[in-house]
Amino acid sequence: MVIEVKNLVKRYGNLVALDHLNLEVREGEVFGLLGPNGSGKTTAINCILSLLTFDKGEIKVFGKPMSPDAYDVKRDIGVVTQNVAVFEELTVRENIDYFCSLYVPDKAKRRACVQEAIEFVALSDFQKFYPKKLSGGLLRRLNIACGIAHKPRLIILDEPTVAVDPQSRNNILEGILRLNEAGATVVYTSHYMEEVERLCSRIMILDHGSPIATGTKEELKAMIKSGETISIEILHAPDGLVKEVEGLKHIVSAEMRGDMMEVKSTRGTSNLSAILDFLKGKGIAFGKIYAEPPTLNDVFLEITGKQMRD
Amino acid sequence: MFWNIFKTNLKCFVRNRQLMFWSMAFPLILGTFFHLAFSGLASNEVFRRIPVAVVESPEFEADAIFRQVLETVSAEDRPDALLKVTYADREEAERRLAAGEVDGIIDYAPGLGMTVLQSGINQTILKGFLDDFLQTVKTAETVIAKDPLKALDVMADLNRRETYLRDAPVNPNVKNPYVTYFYTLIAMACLYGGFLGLRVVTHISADMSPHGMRVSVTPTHKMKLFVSCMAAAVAVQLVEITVLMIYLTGILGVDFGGQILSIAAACAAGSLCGAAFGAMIGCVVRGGEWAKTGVLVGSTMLLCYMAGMMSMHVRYEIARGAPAAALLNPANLLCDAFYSLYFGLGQARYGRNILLLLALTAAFSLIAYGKLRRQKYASL
Repeated sequence: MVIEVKNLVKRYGNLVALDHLNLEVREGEVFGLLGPNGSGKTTAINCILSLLTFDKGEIKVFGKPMSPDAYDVKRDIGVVTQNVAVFEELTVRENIDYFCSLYVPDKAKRRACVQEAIEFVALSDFQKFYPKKLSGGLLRRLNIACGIAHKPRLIILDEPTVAVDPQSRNNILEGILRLNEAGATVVYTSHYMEEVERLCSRIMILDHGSPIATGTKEELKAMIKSGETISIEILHAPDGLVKEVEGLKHIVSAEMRGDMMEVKSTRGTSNLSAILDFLKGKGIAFGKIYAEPPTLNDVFLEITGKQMRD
Repeated sequence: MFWNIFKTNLKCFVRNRQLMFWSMAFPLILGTFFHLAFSGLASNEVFRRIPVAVVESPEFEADAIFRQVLETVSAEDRPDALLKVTYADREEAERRLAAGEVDGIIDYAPGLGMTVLQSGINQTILKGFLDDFLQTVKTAETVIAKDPLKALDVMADLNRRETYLRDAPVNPNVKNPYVTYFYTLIAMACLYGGFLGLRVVTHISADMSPHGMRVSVTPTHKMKLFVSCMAAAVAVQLVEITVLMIYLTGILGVDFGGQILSIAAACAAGSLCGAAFGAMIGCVVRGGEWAKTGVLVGSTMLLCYMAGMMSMHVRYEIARGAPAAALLNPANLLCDAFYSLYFGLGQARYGRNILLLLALTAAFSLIAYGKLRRQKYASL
């Protein structure tokens, strides 16, 4: 086990930030911590990194208790912080070289690591730039390079794509998958469920400091009764149509959004055809049709009764 | 690794314009202002011959003694010449007085007297000169009238000028009394090393900066980080003080009385102590970097005030009423080291101040490192 957290309790005064959190991260996996802002993701990471004190619990990394002076453990960890953590006074290359030097004292080895990290995040053209001259996306890539240049076995990324444009986000996510393919265990925190769904082999959903569900994305989706979300374009919906559709078998809810009717159904194979047959039987014309499988937001919504981005 | 951390922090300090302004440019600017203010004061103390107009008249031509005295006290080749005499008629003399070209007019109207437009040092000296002359002449006339045989002895006595007071500088090497202000400036610049020390803590503390958080999760021992960063801070501070000293001595021409090595040693100890003090403030005071900077500036100002940088009276009162507080104040120790050089109070006192500064440096560093060593935070 790469990370083991048992019964972790962290309080800020009267606020319980982490409430008996149990967490296990296995070697080679991409583990996702998903939850809305303030759910305790960053607090959990900072406790694991021994930056924060906690009230109760036990934390082991690579099988050893974690503490501020557990230098042998820290050697194998790479951290990409939520805030961009670089020196404004150093260039891109100098920043990566400095943080790498705190892990890799050998100059020749370090030079190779730095070069590899620069190429990995595609910052070769910007290595003499100072951070203030970089765009938000490039800055995030520099932040990642500073955290991974020393080739750690465990990489912890705390919301690394906040305020990043879609193209840079895509590059970052692809990079994380490549790091994992190269053998690194990854812990990834985010409140973007699409990212977590795309990257993570196992996911823990946090809310108010407590884990509300853990498993693969398939396991998580299997926990809820909602199946697919079917959207049908109906230009002239008669009154009472939504009520009638909601009354159909296996239908959980239905609502009109403009010309689109959104229908949530329970898991099953013939829900779409059943709805279409119903509409045809009523003589109601329909246009475009979309069917989406359940998302992690549906999981969060069904368990907590609120949207992930509330 | 030490060298790489040292080198990187050095770059960070030197490339930080705001930090460089306050720790290097500001003392240079202040030194320039001091020079402009105090060099003017010093030059004002150099005696310049008093310009005076003497009205040429038959009475003046007839007074051979006064003419001879005037020639003596205004001779161009005499370094202690008192007057710069211009001979003119009454009208021209009055024009020169009105124009400020002369400070007074000496005339016979009918007896020997003088005319001035205002009171001042030069006018007082002129009056003293004339009074002295008239008194001497009167005494000589009286002696000759009463006992001509003694006239020669009395005249010899009258011409003998004895000086009963002697100028003795407190330190024969120190030519400019305003050099103490520059000592104060150097002491302040040394304590500004606190900004660099505080910056070191910012660089390695997780609660002070995002990069501090990143550094805190690396496997580098906190002692190695702290020592390397502090070495960079002190190196920058020493270079800044050296630049300041070169600027003061080489460009502004401030004369420190040939005690440069002793002053340099005090500066080095002061720089170490200043940087360590800043690091301690960074570790002990709660709050963000701005709050810690505020406390550092406030406490430095307070220590300087207590050391007598604004009023020497405060320093004496603290030394008398609370001597322990004086000995624990780095600003006071630094000033006392400089003053002991200036007043020639002996190497023992100077050495004691330097040793106490080094002891305070060690204490501040230990407190800072003790706080940094195994730091975990309640919140970030």
